Amino acid sequence: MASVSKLMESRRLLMIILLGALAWSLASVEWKDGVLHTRGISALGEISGAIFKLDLSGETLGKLLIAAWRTVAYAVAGLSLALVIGLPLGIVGSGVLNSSANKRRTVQTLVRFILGFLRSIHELVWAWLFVAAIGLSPLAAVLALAIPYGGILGRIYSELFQDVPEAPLRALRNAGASEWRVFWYGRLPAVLPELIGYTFYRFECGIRSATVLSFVGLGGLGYQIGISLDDLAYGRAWTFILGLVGLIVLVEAWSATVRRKIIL
Amino acid sequence: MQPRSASLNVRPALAVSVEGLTKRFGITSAVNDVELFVPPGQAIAFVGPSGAGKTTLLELIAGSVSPDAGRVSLYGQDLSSLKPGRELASLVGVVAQQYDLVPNLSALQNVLAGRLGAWGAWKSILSLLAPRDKPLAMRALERVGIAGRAEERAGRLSGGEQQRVAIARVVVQDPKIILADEPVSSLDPARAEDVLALLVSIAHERKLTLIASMHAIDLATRYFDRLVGLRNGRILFDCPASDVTRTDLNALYKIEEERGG
Ligand SMILES: Nc1ncnc2c1ncn2[C@@H]1O[C@H](COP(=O)(O)OP(=O)(O)O)[C@@H](O)[C@H]1O
Ligand SMILES: [Mg+2]
Repeated sequence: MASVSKLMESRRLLMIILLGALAWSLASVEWKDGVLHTRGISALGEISGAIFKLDLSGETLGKLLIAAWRTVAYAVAGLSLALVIGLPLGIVGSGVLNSSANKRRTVQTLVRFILGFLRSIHELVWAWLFVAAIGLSPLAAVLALAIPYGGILGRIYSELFQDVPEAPLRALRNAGASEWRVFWYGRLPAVLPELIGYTFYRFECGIRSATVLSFVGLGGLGYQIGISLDDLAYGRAWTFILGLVGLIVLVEAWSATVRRKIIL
Repeated sequence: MQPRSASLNVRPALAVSVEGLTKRFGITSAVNDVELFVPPGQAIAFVGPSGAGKTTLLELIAGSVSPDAGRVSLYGQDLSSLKPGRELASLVGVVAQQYDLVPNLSALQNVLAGRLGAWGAWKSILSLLAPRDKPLAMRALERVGIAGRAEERAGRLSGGEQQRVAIARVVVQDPKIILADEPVSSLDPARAEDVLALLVSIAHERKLTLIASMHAIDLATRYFDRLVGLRNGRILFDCPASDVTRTDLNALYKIEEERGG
């Protein structure tokens, strides 16, 4: 009973701290100049109005195609490499291949640390680092995407593999299957639809990340949007933005089809 | 009572011998000093109220739980000396109550999983992508009467069909002893009898030893050679199914009836 009231007390304390932090952060924003100055408001109106003046010239559409292709290519290459990083780390980090509890805990802690490190740094930061190290090359974009996404995928995969109903796995062990066979025949099929769905979802995020990455100067949709805004060519910017939306919708549709078809 | 070393020599042909077996969970003795000798080819059923220790005793014999005292031998070999995996799986197969198929795999793949202990690494890996030993699995599915459902996802099969797949899997595994923990208690009565009849006749035609725990006493009496009544982890009676009396059964279920009333 004592521990329950203690818990309630610490919860109340946490609530007060959080509310305090919120108040402090609101207070520390500079409100006195107004969130939007008048020039800003008129620019915003101009930009949003431009959605009805899309630039559909052959030149822009051609650029859109190339930029979209590049963005997708970065995302595909980055996510493929992320899969190569995340899947093995996820399997090992789940600890399901270790039969001794001690070893399992050690491996889980170690891999969780590695995965945490990989994903705690944003892809944009990785991009700066890689551009500084190897210059403006597609490899920099791909690596910048692959590392944090590898960490994210590995984390989720390891949780998926841990969270599989025991009864079928026990049946496989009773049939003489070793732990990795139990993994291959029991755990993987059990989580595969979810694993594929989640990977596709992250691929979608990857396309958006690749778009942002191109602001670093790596080319792609984000780069084109940036140039258009610099040129004050808002209609052209909208063409690229809607291209990005179309891309995401396409990936979503593709993901749904694949998920529906997956039956072993 | 014979000395332990002698019992090995005197009964080398026993499929299962259990001596002084005890398993405790905290203060409860789930299985308490149990002796049991089962000749090959016999069909024997554990009966008794829930919590009697039937599941624990089966798990001890399957080697998936280790005892606090006593020992289990299978065909004269000490269970604790058998390696889990291939060696154990060639002796003992298990049919559970239900929900132990991999739902996302086809019925065929679930049956083939019975070969995982026997297969080498490459065959195990490949088979998930392109089924190996398919004729073997198809014959087993035919024997249990659902060859037509081979390509169906296991999760989409009915309860009775799932149990048939589980039986086909153990057929393909090809052990000498089958342990079945309430194999039909999740099925409706008509289907339960069909599936039980199938399990018993397969054990019989392959000369396998069958040890099951049974909830339905009438099914147990009709389909098994021998009944072992368990209560509070101890054997209350152990005799041919036809010799079990009303008095035996009353004594067996007494506690539960009092609680229920
Ligand atoms: N893993 C476990 N942890 C704690 N107690 C258990 C465990 N398994 C079984 N028991 C206890 O052991 C006794 C026998 O259980 P069980 O073998 O499942 O009986 P039955 O199968 O006859 O219903 C019960 O009192 C049960 O609560
Ligand atoms: Mg039970």
